[in-house]
Amino acid sequence: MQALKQAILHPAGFSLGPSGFKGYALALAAVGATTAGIAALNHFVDLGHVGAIYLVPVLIAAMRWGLGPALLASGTSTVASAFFFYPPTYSFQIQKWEQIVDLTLFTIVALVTSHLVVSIKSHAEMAERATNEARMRAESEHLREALIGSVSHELRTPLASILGATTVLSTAPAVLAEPRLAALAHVARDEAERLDNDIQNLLDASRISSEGLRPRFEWAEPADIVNAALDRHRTRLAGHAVEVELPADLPLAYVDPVLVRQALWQIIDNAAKYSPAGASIRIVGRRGDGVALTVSDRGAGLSPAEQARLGERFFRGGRTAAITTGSGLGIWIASAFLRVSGGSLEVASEGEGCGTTVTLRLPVPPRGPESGDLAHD
Amino acid sequence: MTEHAPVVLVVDDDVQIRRFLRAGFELEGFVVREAADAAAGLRAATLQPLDLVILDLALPDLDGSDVLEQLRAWSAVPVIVLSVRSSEAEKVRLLEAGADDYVVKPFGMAELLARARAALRRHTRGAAGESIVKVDRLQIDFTTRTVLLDDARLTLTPKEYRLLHVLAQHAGNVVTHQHLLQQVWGQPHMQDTHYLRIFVRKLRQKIEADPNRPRILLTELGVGYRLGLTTEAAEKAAV
Repeated sequence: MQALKQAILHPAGFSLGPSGFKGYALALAAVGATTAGIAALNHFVDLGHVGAIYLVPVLIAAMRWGLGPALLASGTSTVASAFFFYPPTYSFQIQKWEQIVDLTLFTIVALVTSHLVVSIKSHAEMAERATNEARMRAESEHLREALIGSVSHELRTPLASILGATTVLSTAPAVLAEPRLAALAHVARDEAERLDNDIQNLLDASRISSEGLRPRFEWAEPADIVNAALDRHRTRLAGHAVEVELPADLPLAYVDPVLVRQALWQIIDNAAKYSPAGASIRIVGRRGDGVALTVSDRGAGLSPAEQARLGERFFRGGRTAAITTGSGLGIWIASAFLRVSGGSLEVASEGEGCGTTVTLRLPVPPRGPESGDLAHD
Repeated sequence: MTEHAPVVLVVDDDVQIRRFLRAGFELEGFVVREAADAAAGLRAATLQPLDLVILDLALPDLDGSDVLEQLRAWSAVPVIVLSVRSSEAEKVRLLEAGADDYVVKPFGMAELLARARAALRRHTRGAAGESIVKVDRLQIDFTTRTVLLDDARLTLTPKEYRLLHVLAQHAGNVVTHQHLLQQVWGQPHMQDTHYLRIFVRKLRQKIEADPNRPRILLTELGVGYRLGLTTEAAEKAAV
């Protein structure tokens, strides 16, 4: 975009500002100097074909001042060599065919090389600009991650006191004796918990993009992961009917169970957020190419356009942005966490208002745990 | 619990955290002592008999895990660690260094109290030579090596019993995978967590009403297992 703008505002070599005129003047001066030089040298040695020497000012003009001055330099060079050096000298007449060929060749070579030089130069400039932009982007990204990381830590310290204090308050006999106060204490506790979740999201996101995730792989019971994700915040799910269906013979998955739990929590959180209170959320485990956990809701669903943009960081559906809170990080975090765990994420929806089904695929490597050698005890 | 009011030492440099912990513990009948750094904490631990230590890991003068190591050199007092680091590897390291349990900041008072009570109970059980542990509908007798579920005797394989026995010794507190593997299968199998998963699955089929939604044999993801109250049940008990 930047490069395009640059090209429109300043087409290579044809800039007409003061520096442009200066370029044309300097190109003329260079041709003049070359002509004088050749004339001086001609007194001592016969230079024969002078065309090659005139390439010097043409290339200098192309390199330093752009295409326009280079064209001017090649034109004047042709004229100057015809006038000064091809017999009859001091006349524009040319007698021999070979001299015409000579001058034509010179003109072609001068035009082609100046064009090449100019385009190479502009490519180099563009590449340099792109590198600079990329560096600046990386720097600002890095700064942002560092900021998110430190702000989150700073927020967590007072939050630990707030959350702790509200849990003491909400169970203190004096408060419980007064139902209105107890309700307030619960509000404070629940909101502190929610704030903690939001901070955790930011921390998770900054972990993904800054230090990188170092997964700790182990054989994990899928039911344990589901339960841990559901337990993490019961308050959030209190308004929904959660159904869990896991077959008893589901294989163990080889993943980082903590990262998969975070991913699953994000998915369940989204399902709760984008479906009406009381609507059911189904979590089903299946065998088949590893373990597949599907989370289905009967909520807002997704239009094809929204589905396409779902993986973007900070993307939030326009229809629902006004009625829900969130940072738009959830799906992005979930898919990053699953990816480093060797799994993957698929999102499907029949369309707007038809609910969403998210499938988390967890790997079960072939060298699975065989119970044969340890079953006897 | 103990006959006298249990004494808890809170070692944390954050005055606000100490303040709410004092309120929370005092409401539950504890006597609270405070220390703002590791040096003061260790001094307090030598000066008076303590029943419980709540230890923050990020102290200004000494890393919490070093405090734990120094304390464990001469004292078996139950220690619950307060950790801001949500890294599971760190938790495992602390538990192996002698912590009885941990809670991750920010935490609720009910959760901390449940862990603290479990650690205290284990301590007093050991001192009194009690040999029966009850968890939910489950009763484990260490001397007769019998396990009752709702008063009906369960048939367990020796390894299943051993697993339950180790967990019951720490009832209410977390036990790391490594500790369980070492205690049940021995040193060579320390990395074979899948053995553990398969035995836990079998055991849950025998002791849980819904093995997919356990209430007795609970998982601490990435760390180990815990026999006892779910956080939910602990919170209800606290209300």
